[in-house]
Formats: sequence, structure tokens, C-alpha cells
Amino acid sequence: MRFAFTIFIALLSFSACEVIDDPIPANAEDNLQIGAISADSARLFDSLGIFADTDYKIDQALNLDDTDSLISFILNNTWAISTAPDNSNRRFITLEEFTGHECIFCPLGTKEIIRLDTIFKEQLVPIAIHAGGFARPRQSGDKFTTDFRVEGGHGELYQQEFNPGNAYPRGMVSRLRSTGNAGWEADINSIAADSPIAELKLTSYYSNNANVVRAQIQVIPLVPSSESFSLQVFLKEDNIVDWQKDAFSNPVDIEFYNHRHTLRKVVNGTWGLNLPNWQVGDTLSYQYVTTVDPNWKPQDLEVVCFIFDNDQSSYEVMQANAAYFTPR
Amino acid sequence: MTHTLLRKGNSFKLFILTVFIIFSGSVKAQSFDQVMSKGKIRGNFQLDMQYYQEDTIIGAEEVPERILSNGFLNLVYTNGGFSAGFRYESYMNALLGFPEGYQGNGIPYRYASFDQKQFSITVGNFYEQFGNGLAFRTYEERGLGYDNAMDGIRIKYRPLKGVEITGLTGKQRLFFDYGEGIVRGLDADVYMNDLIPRLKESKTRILLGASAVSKYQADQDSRFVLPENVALFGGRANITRGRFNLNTEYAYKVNDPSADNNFIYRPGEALFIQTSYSQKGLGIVLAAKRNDNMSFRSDRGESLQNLLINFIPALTKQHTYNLLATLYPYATQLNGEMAFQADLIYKFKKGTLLGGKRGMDIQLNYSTANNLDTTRLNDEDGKRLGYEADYFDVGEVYFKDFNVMLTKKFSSKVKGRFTYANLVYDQDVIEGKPGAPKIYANIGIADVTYKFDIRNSIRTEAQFLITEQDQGDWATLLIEYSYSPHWFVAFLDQYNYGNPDPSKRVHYYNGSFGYNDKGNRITLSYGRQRAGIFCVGGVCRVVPASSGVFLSITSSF
Repeated sequence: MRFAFTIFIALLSFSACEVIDDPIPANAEDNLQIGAISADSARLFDSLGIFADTDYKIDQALNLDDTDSLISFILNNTWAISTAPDNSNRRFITLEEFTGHECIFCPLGTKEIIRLDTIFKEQLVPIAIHAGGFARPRQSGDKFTTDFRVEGGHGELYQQEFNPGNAYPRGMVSRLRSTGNAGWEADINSIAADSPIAELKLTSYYSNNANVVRAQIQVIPLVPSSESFSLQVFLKEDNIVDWQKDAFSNPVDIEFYNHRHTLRKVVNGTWGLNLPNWQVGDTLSYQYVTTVDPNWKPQDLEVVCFIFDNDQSSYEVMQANAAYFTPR
Repeated sequence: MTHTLLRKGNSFKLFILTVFIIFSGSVKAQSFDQVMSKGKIRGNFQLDMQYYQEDTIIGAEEVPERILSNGFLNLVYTNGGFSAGFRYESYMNALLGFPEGYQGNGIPYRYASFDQKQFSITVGNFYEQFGNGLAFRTYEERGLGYDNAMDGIRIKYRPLKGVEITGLTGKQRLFFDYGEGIVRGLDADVYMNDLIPRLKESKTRILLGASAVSKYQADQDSRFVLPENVALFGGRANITRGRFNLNTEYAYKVNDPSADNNFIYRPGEALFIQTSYSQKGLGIVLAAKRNDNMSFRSDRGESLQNLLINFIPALTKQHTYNLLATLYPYATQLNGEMAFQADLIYKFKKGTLLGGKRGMDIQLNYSTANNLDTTRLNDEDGKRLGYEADYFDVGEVYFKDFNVMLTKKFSSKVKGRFTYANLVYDQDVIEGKPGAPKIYANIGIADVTYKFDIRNSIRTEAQFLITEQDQGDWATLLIEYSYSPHWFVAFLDQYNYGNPDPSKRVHYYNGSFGYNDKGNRITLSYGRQRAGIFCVGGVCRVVPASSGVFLSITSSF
């Protein structure tokens, strides 16, 4: 009896274990290509962002698993169209900043971003990644209960990779290196005059009624390269007013703090989409169709895309762009 | 929250009685008063309170509350095999440097247990350790703000003499809440000399053990197929023969993608071996450890000290002297390290050349911790095993510590302890400061006590830390006067005289006095607290700079 009891407990314990051979979920997104478009439809389709030579990557939650459903979905909704700036002859630069609402020195980082934004304007694409202990929401009380961390744990993975020491404010200018806010301007200046290796054309199609955004992205190589690149797509929201700690404020807790450029959604996985080897003259065309949280403010939302060297010893962002959901 | 028993208005007495009646069969045979008269209550109380002052010179920030405090009361009732207790905790708000999750008052720890000949049953909160802890260890380390207590059920079953089986299930404490995951564990200890009659008289004493621990957490992640049930298995042996002892344990963990390991699916493993020899006047301990991807938490997204299920011991000396203990202490690297430690303790006898008239003790200690030698696999989009590691090769040095300590009594009035240590400390990895240079430091400490008479004594410590990196050189001077057995007064100054930035060559002065009486102790101090790191057993907490008045009261009964 005792022996049987012991064996039973042991078996129970051993069975509580799962070995995963294939960690990547199959069909995390639906991939579609629209076939030849008739001449009659071409003009309408073109104006609505329906293209024949584009890989459509569709959020599975939308259940658009064939081209007819996709086209019907696009035709049956209204879309605000907004185009990102031209970067065919300029290298646009990302500034990914690690921050947290309980981080008392992080507002220094925000101030520096605002200052740099006025200097470099559209060439600079800031993204605030709320991650780590300072970004953890409180479980109770009336302060700091909002969770600014991006769903899916991506922010924590970026933190792990780029800011393992949990230093704040910390940022990466085009992922050249991770540094404090004092080093950002120098890093930007070191690459601001570089010629781009590719143009990133970006158009946002946003449907308020469907709570969906479609990011039409064209990667147009300008120089040959033997490196391997990935395409990353984010959504970010500006001007979120909520609690923030600030070491230089009295009181330290600020109720109506303007959180800038907050990363809201990592659309295509932590490390993006691996791009095929390219040649000058190619055009790689993708359209990400993804859901938008109705609580986010459309007027402050932007699609961000960038391509980066996916060699793990580099991760350097080579080109970037951003488009508002609603035209400016 | 379910654990806030007293918040719900139930009295503790009622709780004890109810559980006692449920668990105790013997209560039926005796009168209630007879049974209750055998009960005992014991406990202890601690209050740490600080009044904070802003001190821009040392970077001590203004604290809006001005006064912060941590308070604890443990109360345990025992009656025969029955016991029940609780711990009340108060953070109004938590002292600086403690996790901010500790806020408010409550009873996060309460339990009832009953011990019979074959069974011990505990319901509520409990701490437990399997073997050396590689598979499972829950414990409280108040100075760190570390408490990963279980809340659930634990059964210990002794089916045969020499055999004890422990089964448990529950959730872990996370501040005033619980972690998301459910933890299940099974452990067996077998004392071979008790179990096998022909080994009963053997000089070789053998204890074998085995553990299996499993955690459950739902997969709500769209990026990966995450294992919802993750198990860890371990086996161990502790063999003693005469003056020799061998203590070894191995643990293996199946795929456990987490924020700690960047969501890789590589299995984890850990091996711990410690062997010792001791005889009168001599002790030698040699230890080795290799852990690879062995962070094991009941919430895969957690970090820092939160919700750790197992414990990977640090193979480095736990220093007590201020500069050695809190400037560059080693924190165990859960993702992977290979560590070795050697200890030698020798007593030079009286009358020998080195022993002199009163003898002398020497302690030599050497420890090193290195990264594993790994090669990245670049398989993020495939099996996500992350890396390969050569089992016996080591990578870069994280930490090295060679230290020697001499203890000598010079006369009936004067005794001294002298320490030298040489440290190598990788700030980049241990403190997570990317690009920070590796620190090479030499430390010398003289600790001399002069006893005027049976009541009055004075102790002085002089400490020097010399390094060209980080904040440069430090010196510490401590003078402590004791009037036994009740009173003491002390003055401490730490001076960062070698800081490369002249404006940071600051004195950290601190004056304190205290009173001890039986189980009670009151300490009051005023001064500056240098920013540093406080570690216990390789688990660390960053202590920010502060300035002000500190009051500590402890009492036990």
C-alpha cells in the first residue's frame, strides 16, 4: 500500500512535465498573396492598398484566411490613409528608450528625446519601451496601476538583450549601443549624415470602425549588401497622460505626466521578419494587417517600421520610418 | 487576499482552536482545559525605522514620507504535536532599497501543522528545502526582503525507519500576493544505515535523496508554444566516514523558457560537490559547482529575487567586514556559472613558532566563479536551444576572491583578527553595468579588541580597500565601546579618499548606541549609509545611499 502510494505520487510528479520540440507556433499569422488584379479593379484597389505583389501578413484574430475575405474586409470598411516621409536619400534613426513609470530619473530621458526630436524631426523615430521593475504596475491603490508594458513580454526581451543591467534611463540610437541619455545626441550625429542602404516606404491604412491598421511597407534596396536583415513593425502611442515618478519634481509622484512615444504593440514578433537576400533593383513588399486596441487614441498612434542587421553581434538599425494613423 | 486572515475579522485564538480540533484526534480523550494548559506561545518582534534626510553629497534622495519602517511580529503556538502561527508584517512604507511591492500591513504568513509518528501535515504557509536546494528551497531572508514562502499543503510521511517522503503543493508568496504558477514537489530522504540492517553499525553513514518539482503556469503567449508544466528532477548523496564528508547533488530541469533565459528551450542542469576533512585544529573544505540555465521560478516572466523555486548556492565566502561585504560581493549568476572554492582552517598550537604563547588561528579561502564556455546557436526561429556549452571548460572570470584571516590573542586583554583579501569583480555581469571595467581590489583589515576588565572593552576596526577602478580607494575606521552585558556605543567613518572625482571624496560617518537585555535589543544610530550591495548566500539587494536616524528594536519571548 505504502509502496503503491509512493509510486503514484512519483508518477503524478513526473507526468507534470512537457517537452516542447517546436517552440514557434505554426501560423501565428495568416500569409496571403493577392493574385492578378483586373484592370477594372486596379484603380480602386490601388487607392485602398490592395496590391498584387505584396505579402499580406494578417493577424489571425481577424479570421481573414483567404484573399476573398481579405478584399471583402478592406472594401467593407473605411480607411484613413497616411504616408510616411520620404527617406530615399536619408538614413532615418530609431531611438529606443527603456523606461518605467516608477523610475524617478526617466523623465530626464523623455526631456532629452523631446529636445532631440525638435532638432532631428522626422529623421528621428523615438520609441519608449516600458520594461523592468520600474514599469511594473501596482496591484492596488490609485497610482501607478496602469500597465504600459507591451503585451507578449517583448519589452522584457528587449530589456534582457539591450539593457541587462536595468539601467534607466537607457536608450539605443539605431541599436548602435546602449547608453544613458547624455550619449544619445552624439550617437545620432555619428550616423545622421549616412547614406541609407535602403528606402523604407510606409503607408498606414487605418480603419476606426474595424479597429484595424494595415501597414504597407516597401523595402527598396539602394546598395548591395551581403548582410542579413530583418524587418520590424511596431505600433506606438504618444501623449498618454498618467502617473510618473520624477526625481526633480515636488512631489515626486506626478499625476498628469505626458508619456511620450510609448511602444504599444510589437506587430511581427520580437525579432521581426527575416528578409530575403536582396539586390539593388528589388522591391520587397509587405502589408501587415493587425488589430488596434480601441482604448488607444487614433490621433496619437503611429506605425513604426525599421530594418536591422539581424546578426546578433550587431542588431544595428539601418533604416526606419513612421506614419501616423491619421493624416497630419 | 485570502491570506489576510485577521483582516477578515477572525480572531487568532478561534483560528488556533478550530485547526487544533480538526487536526488533533487526542483532544477527544482529554478535557479541553487539560489539553489547552499544555500549550505554549513564543514569538519575536522586530521594528526597523529610519528618518531620512536628503543628502546631495552622497546622492541620498529626499524621501516624501520622511519616515519609513519595516515591522514584523511572529507568533507561534505549540501544544504537543500541534503548532500554529502567523507573522504580521508592516511596511509604512518599506525602507529604501526594499522591493516596492512591500507596502501596507497584513498577515502574509500563517500556518497550522500537526506532527504524528508517521505523518506531519502543514496547511497554510511553510518553508521547505530539498537537499542543498538545487531543486527546491523556500525561505525568508528579511535583510534582503526575500520571502518565497509556499502557501498550500505539505505532508511528510515516514513509512519506514530511515525513510522520509515529503510532498507539497501550493503557490509562492509575491509580496502581499501570490505568484501565478502552482508548484508541486516530491522529495525522499533515505538514511541507508537505518534502512539496511547490515549497514547499521557501519562507520560509513550514507544519506541518499531524490526530488521532483513541477510548476504549472498557463501559456498565454502568442509568440511561442510554452510548456505549461515544467519539471525539475534531482538526486543527491551525503556520505560521511570518519573525518571525511562528501555532499553532492545533481539537478536537471526540462525546457523552461523564461524572461531570465531569453525564452530559450535549452534544458537546465546543476551539479554541486562539496567534500570536507576535519580533525582537531584542522579543517579543509573543497567545493565545486556548475549551473547552466537553472533559474526556476513559478512565474516565467518574473525577475530579480521574485518567485524563485530553487536555490543555487554561491561558492564564495560570506564576508562580514563592511568594505568586503557590501562593496563587491558576489551574486550567483542563475543563467550559468562554474565555481570553485577551497577553505582551510588551521590552528597553530600554543608553544609553536607561529602559535606563540596563546596559539593562533589561520583561515585561508579561495573562490572563483566563471562564465560557462558557450557558443550561440542562432536558432531563434527554430528549436530555440540558445547555445551549446562545453561541460568542463570555463569562460570569462566573473569573480575571484583570495583571502586570509589570522586570529590571535596577544594577551589576556588584547586579541586581534587580521584579514587580507584580493578580489576580482566583474561589475558588468554581477551588477549589470554594461561596459563597466573589471575591478581588481586589495583589502586589508585589522580588528583589535582591548578588554579593560570583565565589563569594559573597546574594539577597533581599520579597513582599507585599494583599487584603481570604480570609486577608487576606501578606508573605514570603527571604534566600538561595550559595557557588558547591556550597553554599547560605536562610531564608524568610511572615507572614499581615492575617488577619481574629488567632489565624491566623501566621509560616510555613522554613530550608534544600543542596549541589550535578554531577548531585547534597541539600537539607535545617526549618519550616512553608503550605496552598496547587500548579499546573503549569493542573493543580493541594492542598498541606495541614505542619511538620517535609524532605530531598530528586536524582542523575543
